[in-house]
This record gives sequence, C-alpha cells and structure tokens, in this order.
Amino acid sequence: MPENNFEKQVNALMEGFTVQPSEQPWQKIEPQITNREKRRRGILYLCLLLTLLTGWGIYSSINTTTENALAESHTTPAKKTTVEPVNTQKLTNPAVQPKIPAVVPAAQIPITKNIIQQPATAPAANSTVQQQPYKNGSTAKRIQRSSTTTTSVVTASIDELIETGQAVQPVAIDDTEANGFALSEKALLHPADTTLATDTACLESAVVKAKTDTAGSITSTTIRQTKGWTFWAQVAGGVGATGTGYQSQLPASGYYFGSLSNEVSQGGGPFNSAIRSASLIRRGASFSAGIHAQNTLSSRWAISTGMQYRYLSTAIAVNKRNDSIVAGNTGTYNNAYHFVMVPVTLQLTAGFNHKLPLYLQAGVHVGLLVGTNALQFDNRTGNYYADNDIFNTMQAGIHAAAAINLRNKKHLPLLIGPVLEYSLTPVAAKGFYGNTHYSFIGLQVKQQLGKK
Amino acid sequence: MDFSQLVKDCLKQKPIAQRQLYAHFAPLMMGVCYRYTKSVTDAEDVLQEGFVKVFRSLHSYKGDGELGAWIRRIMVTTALNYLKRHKKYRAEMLFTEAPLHPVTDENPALQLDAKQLAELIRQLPTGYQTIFNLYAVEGFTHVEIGQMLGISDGTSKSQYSRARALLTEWIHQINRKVEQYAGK
Repeated sequence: MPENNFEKQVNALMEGFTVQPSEQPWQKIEPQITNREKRRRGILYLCLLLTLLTGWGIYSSINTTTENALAESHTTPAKKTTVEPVNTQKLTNPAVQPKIPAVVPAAQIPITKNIIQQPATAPAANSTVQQQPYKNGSTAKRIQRSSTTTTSVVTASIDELIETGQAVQPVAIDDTEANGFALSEKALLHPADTTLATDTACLESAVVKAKTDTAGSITSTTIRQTKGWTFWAQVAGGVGATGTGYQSQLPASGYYFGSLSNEVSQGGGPFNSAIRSASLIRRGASFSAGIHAQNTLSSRWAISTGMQYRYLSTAIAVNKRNDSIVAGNTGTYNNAYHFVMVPVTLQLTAGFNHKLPLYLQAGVHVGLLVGTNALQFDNRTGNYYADNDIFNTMQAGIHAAAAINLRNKKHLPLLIGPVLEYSLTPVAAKGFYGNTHYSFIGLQVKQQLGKK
Repeated sequence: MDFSQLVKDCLKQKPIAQRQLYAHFAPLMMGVCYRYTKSVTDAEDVLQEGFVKVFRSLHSYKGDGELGAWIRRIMVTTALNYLKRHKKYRAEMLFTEAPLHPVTDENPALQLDAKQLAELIRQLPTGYQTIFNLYAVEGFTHVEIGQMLGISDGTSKSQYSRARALLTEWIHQINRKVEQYAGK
C-alpha cells in the first residue's frame, strides 16, 4: 500500500535516529537518583532512632522513681530567695492559719504505696513533702509549692490537723539548690538550719514503681498491594488529652470548681477556700511508633495488627492560687503516659480504580500503661501527689484513620493521613481522673517495608 | 551488553552501572525527545525527566521485553506530559480543527536522511507533530493515541492526515529542489 510505504519509510528512518545529548541532563539526573538513596537511608535511620527512643522510653518509664518525677516537675529553677514577708507572717501566725475541715473523707485521701525510707542528707529545698501515716496503715505523700518566692512550707500531717483542728506552724525553707532537680524529696528531708515542725526527722523518699496501665492506641493499617503479609513501619504525632469528653481539657467532675477571683474576693487571700480546684489539664504532645503486619482479605479489605509504643502527655499549670494553699511560682507539670499497644485494624480501600485511592481504617486496640508520672490532686489540701495505683493499667479503645498514598503504585506505598483514637476504658476508676478517657488526634505516616 | 546484569546493578544503586545505562540509551532517547519538542533544551529536559523516571521505576522492569523499548515508552509518556504541562506547547495540544490544512494521500519518496526528516517533523505544529510521531514513528493506533491525549480517535485521524499532508508538501518541495539541483 502506498500509504504504508510512507509510514514505513518514516519509521525506518526514525527508528535509529540518535542525537547526542550534552552532559547537562546527566548532571541533573545523578543527584536526583543519589538523593533518593540518601532519603531512603534517612528513613531507615529515623526508624532506628524511633525504635531506640521507644526502648529508652519504656525502660526509663519503668525505672523512673516518683521521687525524681515529682521533684523535677514541681520545681522551677531554684534561686536563692527571701521569704515574702506577708506570706511568711500569714504562715507563721497561728491566728491566720487556714481552717482545715475537721473530717477528710477517707476515700479522698490518696495513698501512695511502695514507699521506702531514706535518711535525710541534703539541705532544704523549696517544696514541701508531707508524710502522713493513715489509719489504714499506709502513707501518703504530698508535695506542695510555696508562694511567689521559692520558699516552701512544711505543714503538719493531715491527721494531726484533723485531730487538733489547728494548723501546725509551717517552716519556711530557703532554696539553696541550683536547679529544680536538686529539690528532690531527699533534699527536703534534711532540716538543716531550719526547724521542721514535724517529728519526722527523717522523712521518707518515696520510690513509686511505675505501675502499668493501658491507654489508647493508634491505628495500624496499611495499603493492600500484594497477596500475603506485608510489613509496615508507622509513626504518628499529634495531640493527646485526658478528659471527660474527646480532647477535653477539664479535670474530672468535682475537681474543678471555684476560681481565683472568688477566693480573692472573700478577702482572706488564698486560705479562704477550703476546697481547692485543680488546674486545667491541657493537651500535650504525643507520638507513637510501631511495626505492623497486614494481610489482604479481599481486593478492598485488609486487616492488620502489630505492636506499637505510644507516648501521651498532658500538662497541668501547678502552683496557681486556686490549686495550692500557698500560691507560688507557677509552672507546668507534664503528665507523661507510656503505653505498649496491640491494635487490630480493618482497612477499606475506597476509590479502588482511581489514581489516588483513599484508605479508610478503623479498629480496636488494647494496651498496657507501662509507666506514668501523672499527678493526682487532693482538693481538700490543694496538693498534687503521685499514686499510680489509681490508674487503670489495662486499656481498650477504638481508633480510626484515613490515608492516601503519596507514592505511585510502582513504589512501596507511603501512607499519610489523620488518625483519631479514643480509649473506652477510663483513665482511672476514681479521683482526679475518674470518668476521664485518653484521646489522641494527629497525623500518621506509614511506610511499607521490604522490596516492592 | 548484558542488560539484565546492568539492571540488577542499577537496582543496587551502583553509580557506574547507572552511568553505563544512561550512556547506552541516552542518544537514542534524545532522538525520541528531539522529535517531540521544538528545541534541544526542551528535549534535554524531557530526557532528564524521563531517565529519572527510568531509574526510579527500574524495579518494575521484569525483563520480559526489550529494555530499550521499555525506556522508550517512558520517554514518550514523559514527552507527552511535558507538552501538556508547558505553556508554549499546551495551546497547540488542544487539537482544535482550525487552522485546517488540506489532506492529501500522496506518498512521496523520502530522499532525506533521518536528521532532515526529524527537522521537518519538528516544523509541524505541535499537535500535528505529536500525533504524527505517535502514529507514524511509534506505531500507536488512533484509538490508543486518542486515549493518551484525551481526544477521540476521529480527531487523531484527521490531525494525522493533515500533518501527513503538510509534511508531504514539504517533502515534495525538497524533492523538487533536489531534482533542480541535480539537473543543473
């Protein structure tokens, strides 16, 4: 055919047509394919780093003593300061001592277990530790911040107050340590040249073992690319909270009432209010990292499970007038929760034939709270204290996520999208965190591992 | 050359193998890119973009076909995307019917070499040029071309006919000049 002749001639001529390119294209190509390899290595290093951090987090949370946690959190960088005259007078004058309720309900008295005794060896510091024997044989420890100066006050035991109806004369202790960590309870135990009103010359330093607890987990879902099992690395970062509602900032019911203005307006300063209210529990930074295995159920459905570490934190502004008998330097205490979780997630691939399919994930998770330094709050005394026994260690929750694949189908999938988690189990059965739940909202990134 | 070994080495990110693969196929692929574009700079841009895709997609090459053909397909796709993306080509890639060129079914004998023919193809309006390359050189059907460019196969056919007619006219002119020159 004549027409075909023309096309054949063109095809034959063009088949071997070559043009020598300049060196410029290769100079641009080379860094792109090399950088890609570097990026891949970077991802691997990041995974390794996250794994190490996870291990460190679990290890440290298990071995962290409450002593250190509390000392760090309740202490602003210490400076040698003088006692504010007005406050000191108020504190030392029995006439202006606060009226402590005659009866403290036993249920509201926090109990701290695993207390060991240590001799006092260090000079005084700016926090007040109160070691109180209770009728049930256990002890409770209180930490309380002092006034706007960093002076601390040691108060009498609650039992004593209950029995006498009077406040014990507090003792002002100068801050001599250089940093907050030095203000551990050990330091508080030594009376030095100050006079401790209590008969406990050697106060105990409590070492509260990190109790296990569980909390919300994160989704572990993956794209279904091939038959059989695929393995995924997952990281997520976002905001965590404990509250009565999702991402609520409020403390548990009954622990938040009154306000600074009310107390001040009553004319007596901070001692007028017998019932203290805790500060807001604010959201904090949270993250998770884990490994998941995923299997395909059908062309659209996949199921995955794995294991992941979750760090969840919240923050409390301590030493406000409304949450302490003596308002002092305000600071932020970070409640950290460490979880190990096992999620089970179902994934639906929506828009299967589209270039950018949407992956919808939902599932359940169980988790174990392996450690926390979170504080409880006693609204009778305005004291924050640690008691990990109150927390529910086992947690069950639900999670949901959506994701898109940032890579085309010829590459190993890299999913990114929002994730939501909510723990159905309350944070604690009673007390400050009673009827509150862990929650997390953030951005999740998942990378399939291995060769395409 | 053992391409399967070369591919394996490239997948292991060996720079020498990557350079070797590029050096082997770059001139041929530059020829492809050259035919689809209007300037050497643009052709090199397409070449660069295409080879980056080649190296990134090399894991999906199963070795069941000729490596050169596989790379060529990537280059053609990259060139089409480039034309659609860049302003100076995009307007002519709309394949409107105006201005129309007359259709002819002549089959002039090609007394040109590859370079001259390539230069003539590049003189065509971009839409004609693209469809002519896809049909006459690459061997795609009009249905496939329609799918690739998002047009009907009828449009592809008419565009090709007009491109072919224009090219034929130019070839006739060149042939006449060659004959005149030879007659003298």
